[in-house]
Amino acid sequence: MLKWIRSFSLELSGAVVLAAVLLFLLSPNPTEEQGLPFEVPSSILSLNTIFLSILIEAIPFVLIGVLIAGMIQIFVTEDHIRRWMPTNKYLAVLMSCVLGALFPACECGIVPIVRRLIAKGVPLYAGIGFLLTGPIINPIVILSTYMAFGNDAQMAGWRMFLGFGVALVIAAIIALVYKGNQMKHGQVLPIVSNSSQKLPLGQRFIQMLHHSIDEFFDMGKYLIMGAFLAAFVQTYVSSAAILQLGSSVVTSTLVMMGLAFLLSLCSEADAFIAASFRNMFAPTALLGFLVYGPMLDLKNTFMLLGVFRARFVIVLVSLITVTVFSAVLATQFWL
Amino acid sequence: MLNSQQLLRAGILLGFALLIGRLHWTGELAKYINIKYSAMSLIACVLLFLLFFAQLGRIRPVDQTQHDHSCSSGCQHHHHLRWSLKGGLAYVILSIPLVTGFVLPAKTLDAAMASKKGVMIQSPSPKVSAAPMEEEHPLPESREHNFVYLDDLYENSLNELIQQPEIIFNDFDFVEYADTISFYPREFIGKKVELSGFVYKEEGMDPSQLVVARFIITHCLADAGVIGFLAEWEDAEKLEEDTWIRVKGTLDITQYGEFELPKLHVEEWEKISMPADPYVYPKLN
Repeated sequence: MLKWIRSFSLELSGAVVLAAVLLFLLSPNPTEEQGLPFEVPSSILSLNTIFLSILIEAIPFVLIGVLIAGMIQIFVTEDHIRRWMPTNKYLAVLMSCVLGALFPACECGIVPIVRRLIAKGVPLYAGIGFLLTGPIINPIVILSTYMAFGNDAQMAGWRMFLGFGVALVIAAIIALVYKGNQMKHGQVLPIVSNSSQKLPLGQRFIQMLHHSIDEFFDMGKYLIMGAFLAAFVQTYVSSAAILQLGSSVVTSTLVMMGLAFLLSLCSEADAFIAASFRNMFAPTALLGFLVYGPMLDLKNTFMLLGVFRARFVIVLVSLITVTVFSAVLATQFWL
Repeated sequence: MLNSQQLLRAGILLGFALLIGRLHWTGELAKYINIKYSAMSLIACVLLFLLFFAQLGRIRPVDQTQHDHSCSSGCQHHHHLRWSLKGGLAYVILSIPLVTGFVLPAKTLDAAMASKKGVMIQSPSPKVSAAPMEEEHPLPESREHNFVYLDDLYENSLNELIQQPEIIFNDFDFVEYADTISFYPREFIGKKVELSGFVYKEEGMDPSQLVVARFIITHCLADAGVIGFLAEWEDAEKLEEDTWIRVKGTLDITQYGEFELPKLHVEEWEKISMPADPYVYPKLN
């Protein structure tokens, strides 16, 4: 009997899973009006709804990110990277920023890709350049910024220009200061040996999916923690109160950057929020929001903590904050 | 024996696929994201199912001898996942959204959330009028009388709206109408409008005033903002927050802090039930 169960365990578990599927699909949805058999405070329900909303919005991009990471793992070898990467550090920085600008991604989807690239031997500074320009310079972000500011190209233009400049500076500083890849221990994942190159494509595809799954599970927990914290802030911290802290150009820029970090908006939607502050703050402060948000927020800081050593993440966060802040302040003479 | 951890992973992948699939199936998705992006989450659902099926192949332990595996030695840990406290915690974290997603109902954003978001009684307006940044960023003087600096988007909408004898808001045009009116509040003085929304009251407001508000969702609830009109009439005092109402009235302007805002003198009103889709969305061309 036991043996029988054991040999059919896969089929059994399949049946259990199938039953669960049907149960879920057939079970009625709980609704707000119906209420629950147990009492849940309404703010907890709001928190949960926003939490799930952020996750549902982010999951497609994260999945695409982990699939690309899986593809890199299986189909790109260290040799390729050695061949493609310029030997000159600063040329590599420039190249990575340009590649990031060409590559459409969002700030959470790009983290697994960068992790995989660095594990494959891409230098840290190039990885960071790619990480920073990827989410901020892409067609959807530019278009939505353009439209959010009433079909005005100025804000979108500044956003791209500053985003690119800031990324270059940060990646160059990292190139100067850091040696090694700064990844957490156990992050330098296996490298595909040449043998896999000879495997049939179908098998390599399955392997790619398996690597993507591992990547999803490695990154997923950080995404969920970040999304939860962002939802918590949205539910319990009044952004109206935060906004009141900003009066001068300097403080309002800091306030908007802080808000960008806490709200953790997707870079494709944040321009509309920035635009709604137009009559409250100077364009400089809005630009701080628009440039800082896609580079850093609660969600992706958690994900970065899953990839890099905590010390490096702290340095990177401070570096991005200081650079964006000074770059944005410098624009007030033109804006 | 089955690899319990790989099985658990398959379960979690399936769980996410089902959660998103069910939200699609039941239409509940609209309570979480702007439905315009539903294609993205449908893709996510398909990808999760794909990953789930790929994961099924790992549940049965692979015999070490026929482990025709391509990775070098470092790859092993993927296949021989060991249970640890940290690993277990990760699965707990990953299961949280599944549990809350299947068990808890979606909550429509309400006045309590509006107060956290900070209500823009008027929507994005380029008019910096009396704002302190005026001196640093002077706007063209011609702002009020001609439309030299106004972009096509609102100008078209203005020309269109101003010709209507009565402006009736529907959910589809809500954002555009509200933006246009708060862009040029002076142009609309004396205009009759009709619109619906939920009651929101801000501290320091006159008892006879309330905001007829809507949440505007660009992408997901995290980027929700509030737009609405300040409305004034005697009965306003009796209405509780979060009551859905439909109001008819005449537009006027008022000074709110440093800004000129449209204000609605309500002549007729009625309680309504919450619309099937309580949110409004920006129109993207």
